[in-house]
Amino acid sequence: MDPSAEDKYKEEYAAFKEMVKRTVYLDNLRPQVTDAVIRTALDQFGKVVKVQLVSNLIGPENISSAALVEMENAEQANQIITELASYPFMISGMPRPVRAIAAEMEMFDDCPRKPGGRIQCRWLNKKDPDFEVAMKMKSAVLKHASEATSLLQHQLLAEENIHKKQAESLKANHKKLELIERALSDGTAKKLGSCYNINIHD
Amino acid sequence: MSIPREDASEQGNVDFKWGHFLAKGGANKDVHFYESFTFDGVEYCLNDSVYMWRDDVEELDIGKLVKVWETASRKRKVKTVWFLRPNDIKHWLGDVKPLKNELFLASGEGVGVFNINPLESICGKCNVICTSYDRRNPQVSEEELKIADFTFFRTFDVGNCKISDEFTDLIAGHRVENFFNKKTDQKNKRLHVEAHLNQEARKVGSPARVVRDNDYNRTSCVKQLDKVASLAKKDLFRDKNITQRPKAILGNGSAKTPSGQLLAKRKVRYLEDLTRANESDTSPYKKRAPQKNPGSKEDLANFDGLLPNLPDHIQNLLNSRHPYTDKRGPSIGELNNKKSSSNLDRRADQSEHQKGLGILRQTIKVSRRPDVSWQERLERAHETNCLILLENLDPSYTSQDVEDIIWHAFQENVSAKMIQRNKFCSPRNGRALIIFKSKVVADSVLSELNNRCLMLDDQRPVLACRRNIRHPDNPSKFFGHLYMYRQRYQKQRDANAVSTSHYCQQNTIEYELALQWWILQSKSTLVWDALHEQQAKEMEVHASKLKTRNMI
Repeated sequence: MDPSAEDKYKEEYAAFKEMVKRTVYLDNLRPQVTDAVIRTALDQFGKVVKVQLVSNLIGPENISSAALVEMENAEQANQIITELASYPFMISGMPRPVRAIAAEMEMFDDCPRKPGGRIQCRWLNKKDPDFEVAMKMKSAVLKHASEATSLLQHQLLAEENIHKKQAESLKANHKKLELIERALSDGTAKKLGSCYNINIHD
Repeated sequence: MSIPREDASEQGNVDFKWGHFLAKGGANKDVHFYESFTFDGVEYCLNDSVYMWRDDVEELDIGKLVKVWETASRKRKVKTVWFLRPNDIKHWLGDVKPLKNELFLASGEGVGVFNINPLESICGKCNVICTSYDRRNPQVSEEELKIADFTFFRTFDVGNCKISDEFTDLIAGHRVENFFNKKTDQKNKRLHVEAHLNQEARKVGSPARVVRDNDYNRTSCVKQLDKVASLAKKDLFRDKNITQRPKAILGNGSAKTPSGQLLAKRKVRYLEDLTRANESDTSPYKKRAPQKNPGSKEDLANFDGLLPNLPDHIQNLLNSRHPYTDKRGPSIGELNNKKSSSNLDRRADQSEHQKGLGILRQTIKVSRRPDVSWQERLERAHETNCLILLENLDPSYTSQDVEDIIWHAFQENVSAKMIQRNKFCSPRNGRALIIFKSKVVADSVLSELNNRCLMLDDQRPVLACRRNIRHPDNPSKFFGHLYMYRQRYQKQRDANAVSTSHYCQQNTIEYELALQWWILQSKSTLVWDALHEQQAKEMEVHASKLKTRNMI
């Protein structure tokens, strides 16, 4: 690789790394979230340079959406992360709060090549002593993938449960409050109050 | 439309009736192929799984009906491809532990994949469900899984006696889609059946059929997760009805005297087929084998002689493994190649992808590809079977790196896309989607990677498989957002639904609910971290066993 190209790669890589530091990985977003919504949401923390929605190509179904938000500088990014960890922040819906973590290089769609990195590969035949081990590693990877899938399934179930419980309790609370409202507004409460000699003020 | 050919009195009042007529074949067009029939009060269709009776074996064999016909001499025959019980292949299981009620689909070339038997040896229907994640297999719901009698997701190749998760395109000359779960769309089923008859329409019809398959797989992807949960429980099947049902059928059979006669006839006919068997073998699997040897080759030859009128498409299926690339089916192969070659040209214009014509040379700065065109490219590649997923790559590789690796290993030019990492898959596991120029190349690379082993540095064997692409517009469930009705009385302490963002106050119900979500989030983060750690340790253990390390 000629030196000028090598230098260019180094520059690109360094610039990319710097950008990653300024970027926040936001997830627990609802699937229909848009670029504009995220921008307005995070505008209060500083200048939002770019919003990139993470596409879920082959990934598991039914996981929440995520986005990579690039801010103007690293301090703003860090501020977002710490703030969102201390207070529940909600974007276009509640009460599930949004989570922010520091972005990493592999989360991006198109990271540049690592300069100076060398990749080697070799073929293993069946007679090779490592072949068996390699086959076992392959099946271990598959096993891990299915473990992850079932863990995700459990998590989604737990989320669903919380959602249902919360919806129910919210409904119940709402009904109670409605009842109180109605009683106050149509005079029933006042009548009862005068019966019992209790003053009721609005 | 049924053509009653049997004379009831002739057969001794057999409870039998032909169903839907398919085609005629044979030298004098006197062999009739059917799609369905009613036997002993039960209706059977093509691609149903059935129990078959073998005289000297206690357990009933399970097979899938792939062809049903009546010969010129009024004999009814069925061709069944077998599902092997774990017991049948226990010599070759090795350390594979079969699940309860798991079967293995016989495949490959050799004795024991299928047999042609008299129809009367059928004892009853069997509910066999395919639980494979093959992209051609429609996934089933958990309820269907619970009521299934048996499941299968692996094949047993009778040629090299190996168990495999992969399904080849053809099994015993029939499309593998017939063995997967049936699609619920009746129209689609008709299309499958009629596809065998009409030659002209199939030139356009087959790619369309492929697309439809994919549509079904996409929408049924959601069920896949249900399936995994149930698999993880390993508590799938009811055992009760298996022994009961065949007895019931046989019981019915013996109640009527003419059918009792029939049962005897059944035994006799089946025995006739077995008389050529070698008695020395004890394993039930092998007993089936000798029947095939003298019998089936002849039968197959008879087959060819019987069916000169089958359209070319069927001939292709019988003769070649890859109908799509067979020269006798020209249009399908050409269509595929045209599409994929235009996809792979990096400089082609977006509109050219859509037209599929020509190659426009246009210099574009190759720094950021817009997502839209990638999505289309991936979908198109998936439809033409040119898409492969590689796993267990180093996550810090770029798409360019992956393309270079493929080039050096296989001398193939491909397009690669590294998949962005999400919080759920292991941080060690890098994945990439590869678009090949053609299905043939994709297939050969896939088999190379699976049979041999490509080790990347850092001790990573590369895995390859085919996977469905998820469409971004797929409906996705999302939990956690609740909505309040706007009432006339607005004095409510909990906030109304908002479409913008906000922090929530500490004295609201909303805050408490949000805390619950936080708790769940932190729990799951801990769990995921623990899982990833454990998985990393396991991989380390494996890697330490490698003898040649540090190739640098």
